[in-house]
Amino acid sequence: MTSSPLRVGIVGGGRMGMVHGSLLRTFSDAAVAAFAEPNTQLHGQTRSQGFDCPIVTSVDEMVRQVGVDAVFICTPNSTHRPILESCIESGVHVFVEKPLADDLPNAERMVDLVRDRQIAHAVGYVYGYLPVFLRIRELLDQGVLGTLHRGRAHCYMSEVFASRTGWYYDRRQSGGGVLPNLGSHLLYLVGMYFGDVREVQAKIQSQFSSVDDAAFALLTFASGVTVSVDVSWSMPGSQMLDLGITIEGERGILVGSKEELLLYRHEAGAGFPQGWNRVHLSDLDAHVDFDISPHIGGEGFYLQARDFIDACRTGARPRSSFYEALNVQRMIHGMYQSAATGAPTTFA
Amino acid sequence: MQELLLTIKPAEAYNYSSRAERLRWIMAYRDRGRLIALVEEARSLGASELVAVVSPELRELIGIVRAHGSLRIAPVVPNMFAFIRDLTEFGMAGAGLKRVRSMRPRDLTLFGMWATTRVRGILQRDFTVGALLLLRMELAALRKIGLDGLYIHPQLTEIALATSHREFFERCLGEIETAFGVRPGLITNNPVRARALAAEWHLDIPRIVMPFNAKGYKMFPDPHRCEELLAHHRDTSVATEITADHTLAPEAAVDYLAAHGVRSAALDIREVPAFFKAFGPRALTQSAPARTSGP
Repeated sequence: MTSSPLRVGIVGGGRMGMVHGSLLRTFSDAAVAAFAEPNTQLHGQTRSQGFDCPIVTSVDEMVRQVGVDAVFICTPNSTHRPILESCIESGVHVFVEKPLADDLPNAERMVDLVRDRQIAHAVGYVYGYLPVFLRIRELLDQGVLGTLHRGRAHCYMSEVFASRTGWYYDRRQSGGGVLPNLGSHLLYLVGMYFGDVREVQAKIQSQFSSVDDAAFALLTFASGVTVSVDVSWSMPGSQMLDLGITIEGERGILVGSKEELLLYRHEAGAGFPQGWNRVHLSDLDAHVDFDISPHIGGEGFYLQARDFIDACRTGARPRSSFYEALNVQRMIHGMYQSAATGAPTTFA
Repeated sequence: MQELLLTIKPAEAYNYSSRAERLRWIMAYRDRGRLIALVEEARSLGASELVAVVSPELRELIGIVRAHGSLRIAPVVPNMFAFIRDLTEFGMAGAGLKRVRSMRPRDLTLFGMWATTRVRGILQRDFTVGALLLLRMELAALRKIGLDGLYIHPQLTEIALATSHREFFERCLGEIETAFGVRPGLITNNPVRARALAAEWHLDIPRIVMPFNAKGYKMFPDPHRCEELLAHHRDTSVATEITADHTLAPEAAVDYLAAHGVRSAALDIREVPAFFKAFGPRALTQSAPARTSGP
């Protein structure tokens, strides 16, 4: 293990580039070595946020001339694959802001690019690092619910109630609407708990914008478990992401949100008495040195960055690697395809 | 405890453990009488200052509280989530125009004079100038309500703390104090870093509102360091999240504050019913607020 800080390059001077870049400034074993942003009008903005590192216009310049150990790709979804292709041969570790790509073929190509290489790769599914959702995963691994039977999950936000502009709402750049944007967070959690998707049946609606504003799906996983998923960014009442999941199993039911999990056990066991049990975020240990975003779950951002930096140093696989992200991309692809054809989409 | 603050933000801006709870509070906010009753209950518990993220739905409540003079008013500015939403809906110019339209002619003139001297920074989207622009627009619109205190929105504060942005803090605190007569405090989940940087920069921060509770909830980087910090800065620290997201009973929350000699604490509007039920109209503070009639 080297003792010098990991030199990180941030690709993209937009909001997520700033969030990740700012957070990385609080780590003693990582340093923001450069920004790459093709729009030179944003260079002054980046510098004014307190970054005194080189700001260049291309990833190639950042990787080959400035020199970095890792890159954070925080650009529109359709650019993720070409950016990865431009820097992968340099052997840099790669963090991609979610989703992995704008469509499934590009995501598969990106997984092929990193496979068998000695690099760390991760995708920014930050909610998967929130302590309550991590605890749910631990409890499922411990068999607290026994065999899983079915699940229900939702993800709502009040964001789109009229036609919008910007790359989020341009399918050519984003690959879709609420599904890749907010829905992918929920789909990552569903994949984290239920595994690889095998069949998808979905309905999609575009009430306000030119992309999908809401979606409902039934997902069937390799284990045979079926999970219903309800996603909308046009749901009044939720300035903060309202995200929840219910999992039913042979030994009980688990209801999870960002703040707490409620566990009902049919019988005492696995360290829990019979009946309802509550585990709140405040009951969980989270080794977090800096909370970059108190309202949105800053613990998740910190733990996610910690996981990636550690992976760069140790060779361990980050929790939200490209492989897990590919499963999400399959779900998104399956939902679009099923909605278009009216038939289930299946995966081998 | 010597001082109790009442904090409030738009109902939609909270995190909730269930959708049913979210909708219950959204509906409670629509009932002006219910909100005023909660403010009155908080006042009877000793609250002397209303710390509010200002939104259209809360502006009326703030106006009523101000008109009655029962609590000091300390807004949290800018309302970052409203701004980000406007930014995606209307763009930078549209979001700015929306705020300019809420200003009175005199404030608009003063703001225009200030902005013309910062054109370069505005065009270059300078972080500090942009923050000051937002702060000035929102504060100008609030001038008619009157300011007794002021806090910078935590989302801005945390980003600037992460990058150790000295210029941001020096200019925001200094320029806002000069223009509006009130030096802003900070609300942060990273008080240890905030205090360290303030000491390094010799920066006077009148108040830092920080999570402080018996469960260590949101006390970063760890509860022990936050306890040490508060012990060294009792007069300028305000404890918040005192029930650890409603998981501590009011009595336990207050006992912890007393054990650590906390002088100022903040009670969120959603915590008021449980505290009023536990303590009734007895003030939690050592000296009750001066006024005795409610709004």
